[in-house]
Amino acid sequence: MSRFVLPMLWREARGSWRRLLLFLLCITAGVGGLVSVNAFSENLRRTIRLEARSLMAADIVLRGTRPPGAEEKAALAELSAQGAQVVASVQFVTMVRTGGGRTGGGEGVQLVSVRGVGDGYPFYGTVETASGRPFRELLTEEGVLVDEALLLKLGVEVGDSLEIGQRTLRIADVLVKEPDSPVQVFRLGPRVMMTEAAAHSTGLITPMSRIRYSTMIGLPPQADAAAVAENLVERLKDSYVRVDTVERAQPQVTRFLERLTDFLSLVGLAALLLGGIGVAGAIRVFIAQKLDTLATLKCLGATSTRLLAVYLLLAVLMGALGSLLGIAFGFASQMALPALLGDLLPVQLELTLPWRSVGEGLLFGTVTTVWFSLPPLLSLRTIPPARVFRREVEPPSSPHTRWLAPLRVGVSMLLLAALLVVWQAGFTHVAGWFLLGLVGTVAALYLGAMGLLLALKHLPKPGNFSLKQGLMGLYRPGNQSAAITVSLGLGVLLLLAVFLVQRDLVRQITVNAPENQPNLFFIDIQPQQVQAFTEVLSEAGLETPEPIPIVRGRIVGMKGEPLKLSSVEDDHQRRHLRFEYTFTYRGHLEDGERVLEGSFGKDPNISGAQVSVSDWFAKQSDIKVGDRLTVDIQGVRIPATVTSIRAIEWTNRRANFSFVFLPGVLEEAPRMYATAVRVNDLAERTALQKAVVTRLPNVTALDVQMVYNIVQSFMDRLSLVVRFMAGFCIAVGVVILLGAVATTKFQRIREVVLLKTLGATRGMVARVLAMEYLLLGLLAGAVGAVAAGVFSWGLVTQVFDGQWDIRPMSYLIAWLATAVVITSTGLVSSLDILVKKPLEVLREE
Amino acid sequence: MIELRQLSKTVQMGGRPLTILHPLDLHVPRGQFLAVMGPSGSGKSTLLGLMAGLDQPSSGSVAMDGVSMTDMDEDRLARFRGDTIGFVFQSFQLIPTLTARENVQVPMEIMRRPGVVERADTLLAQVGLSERAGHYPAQLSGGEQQRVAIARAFACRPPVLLADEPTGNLDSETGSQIIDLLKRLHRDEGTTLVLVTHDPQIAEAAERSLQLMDGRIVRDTAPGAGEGVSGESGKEARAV
Repeated sequence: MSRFVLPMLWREARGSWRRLLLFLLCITAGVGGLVSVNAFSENLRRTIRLEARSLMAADIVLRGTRPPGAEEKAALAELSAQGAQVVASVQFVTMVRTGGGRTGGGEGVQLVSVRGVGDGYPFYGTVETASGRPFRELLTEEGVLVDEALLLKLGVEVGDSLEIGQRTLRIADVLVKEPDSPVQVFRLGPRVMMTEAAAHSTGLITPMSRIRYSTMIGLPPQADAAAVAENLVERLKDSYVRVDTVERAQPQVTRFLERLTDFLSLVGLAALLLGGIGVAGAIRVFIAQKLDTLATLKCLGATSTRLLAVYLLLAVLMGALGSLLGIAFGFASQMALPALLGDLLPVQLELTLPWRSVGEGLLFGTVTTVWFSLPPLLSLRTIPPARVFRREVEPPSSPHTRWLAPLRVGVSMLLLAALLVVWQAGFTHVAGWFLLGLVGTVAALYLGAMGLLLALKHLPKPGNFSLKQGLMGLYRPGNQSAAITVSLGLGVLLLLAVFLVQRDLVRQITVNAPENQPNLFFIDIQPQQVQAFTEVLSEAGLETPEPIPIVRGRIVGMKGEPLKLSSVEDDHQRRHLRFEYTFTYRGHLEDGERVLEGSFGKDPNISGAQVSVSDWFAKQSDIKVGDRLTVDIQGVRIPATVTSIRAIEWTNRRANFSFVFLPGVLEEAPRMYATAVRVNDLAERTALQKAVVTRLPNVTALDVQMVYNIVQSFMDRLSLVVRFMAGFCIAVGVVILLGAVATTKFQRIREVVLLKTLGATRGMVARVLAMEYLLLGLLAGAVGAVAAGVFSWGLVTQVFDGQWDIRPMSYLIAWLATAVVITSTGLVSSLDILVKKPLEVLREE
Repeated sequence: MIELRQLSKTVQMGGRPLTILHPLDLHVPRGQFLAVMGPSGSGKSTLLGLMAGLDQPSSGSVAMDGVSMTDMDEDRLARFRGDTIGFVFQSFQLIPTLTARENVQVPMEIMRRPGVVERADTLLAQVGLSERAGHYPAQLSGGEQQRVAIARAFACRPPVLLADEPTGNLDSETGSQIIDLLKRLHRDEGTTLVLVTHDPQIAEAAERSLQLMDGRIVRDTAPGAGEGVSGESGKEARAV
């Protein structure tokens, strides 16, 4: 075989490399996207694995919403006896005020996230300070470390004092890095780090406050950390604390990033599959142009099998080469990801090119190329050798072959997509939905493109010469108009849909719309402070809405039985049952609440507490009307009967409660109050917060604008990253376009020469070409924009339960931008057609 | 050498059967130079294609050297062609991405012959193109391209050479050079040569010539063959 196949392979590659290069780049762009994300994700996972202990700052951490109970204390005592060190840490959100003796001159209040750490923290990793001094020297009875953001927001400097709760503390230094909380994006306010003792001395830690307690455990070096952890998990399986170990636990942000990169690598796969469609089309055209050669070779004695071997090997070679280029491209472009993710990244990454990503890129790229090359290549078996005598002897063709080619490509794509997606994401729901979505979207885009092309073809021919010629150009054989439309359309869809969804979601939480909704929440108002709070508000000219009582407690019994957490099989459900829930009590339904089952009114036949639960909790825990629950409020157990199940509009920006008790039971429980007001002016809002906090230091104010800012910056990051991936889809589309221009070049040249011979000027020819690309661009843009509209509508209204807006300008811009990109790409790559003299062309032929 | 029995070809044209070649018998002995003449559409090229097994006959059989080609599958036919038949085409059919030398090498590589490069160079020298061995078809004139095609046709020393209007795309002087070359190689290599042509002068240079008209043999100059037999009987032309 090698005597003929290999030399032929080499000669074909040598002779057609210019044309092959563009097919190759289809794969390069696709593999580039995939490798870029996969390599990045691999690097991220490796680094996080390496730094797992410092990302926890301990070997084991117990996390809970209450201080360790008897059971936990006994376990900890045993561990201490074995030489383990135990350090407590607390975390809560509160307000700080600028204190006296300022040098910065700022003045105001600010929501902060306080962390109090005990002696010995951290066991692993380091706390970095701006001055470089060891943080232990800086954290004293008085001294605290703060994020730089706090200095900026309050206009204070290191050395100034801060009022927190009942304490006046001094800013000892700026906190640069906290090992076990490396990401600030999700924090409600800048960090203030102090000793655990100092945190307690603020008076803000009460049984009614929302405090996150962590018990950090450092094991002696000789201990078998995994075994100790496993023991502890088993021992505390019914406890409401979560046991995080280095193996089991990951920072939330890591889980989030893993999900994000999983999703992005699926987008990368989509780009690769689009590249495959480009390859299929390109090979079909390539074979069509080789018909004479293939027939001649058959006359010379070459069998179909050996010819197939030549071109299949060529495809393997192209695929491998394209993939290698793609791997290099992907490696280079992953450098952009840390910048795009910015402060979402918990660790400093050293970006390498992992072998796994190289292997995957090479394998996926080559398999995709070969897979998509096969259907057109198999058709070379039917080329009749008699073609060398009689041109009219064509492979048998019938109307259904027109549909057969795209159908084959479609089926190939489906099979390969299934294979690759399962490889990438496993047999998961995400994989299934993604596959379904991808196939559905591509099919819809393809049908849309074909439909429009067909409609254009059957419209009356326009009178304008350039327009008519350009229109006819769209149907030139080998033009791949549909493939280009699908890839660019998918790129446009991704870019535009992300933008639209982001806009709609952000708008939903913006301050100005909807009107009359509260934008400033006050929480943690103690019962005896309600009077004072009302006074402060009325001084500011505001009426105080009825304060909402809040009681915190956990679920300890369900359906009349004590709840054993270890017997709850579903992880998700178990996690929710560990929550410290907020209960309220009232005798009426709020706007946006609807009773689904039972009735909200008090049932005189039932003795004891009566509670209405949300449909979410009922579904989560399989609760029905008439079931009995037991709640634990600061150690007091209260049995209650579920008398109704409510549906809640969670987006209505009120304080919504999963559990509403009917009046008469919780009034005596320790409780706090919360309320919300609307103040339009930012300065007034700030002033009001300051007035409240100065008078009532333990009250926390939550400005919706601030939450909005957090969500906004988070969404900005996300959409940047998704746009980055969409770029690879666009790149594939552009490469297919370039390839289509190159493969149809000879035909175009003939057309152009003919037009020139018939008296067309260069300008006229340029207009014809421009018109063709413009039409193609408008087509792709339209298909993509419409799909983006449908997609974003579905996502916003069905998934996020929000309000979808028509944004005509966004669509228009996306549509025109696509047209501009395609027209300019097409024209630039056609320049040599334009400038060629007819004679040169004729001589070349 | 070549034995055609009751060979015919009918195709569907616009839903109606159209007979391009009526049933005919023909025997071409080893080493003969046979010219096939006839106007366009008379069935010359179809006859040549059927002889080469490039097309399926509607009836009848083709045998070369006593081996029937009619029942071979496509791959066996391909191998058989590579071994037995050389081709020269009116439009040269050189592979545009290959140099002259490589074009000559291809059939030998397909048939796994030894000494491919030396043989290619020898053949190119024989057709007078030693200096142009590294050129691509597009860089050669029509006559030069046809000479490369002839060198390629002789590469595997096929016992049979089929030429389909090899001078059709060339001027008359270049054309006669090509015919001289074909004749010389035919003589030197002892090849059976079947040549389709429009040109009576070329036909005269052949040992024997057939005249086709509307898919029938109307004249055969072979000793013992009657002129216009097939045309008048409407059944067959017999040549021995």
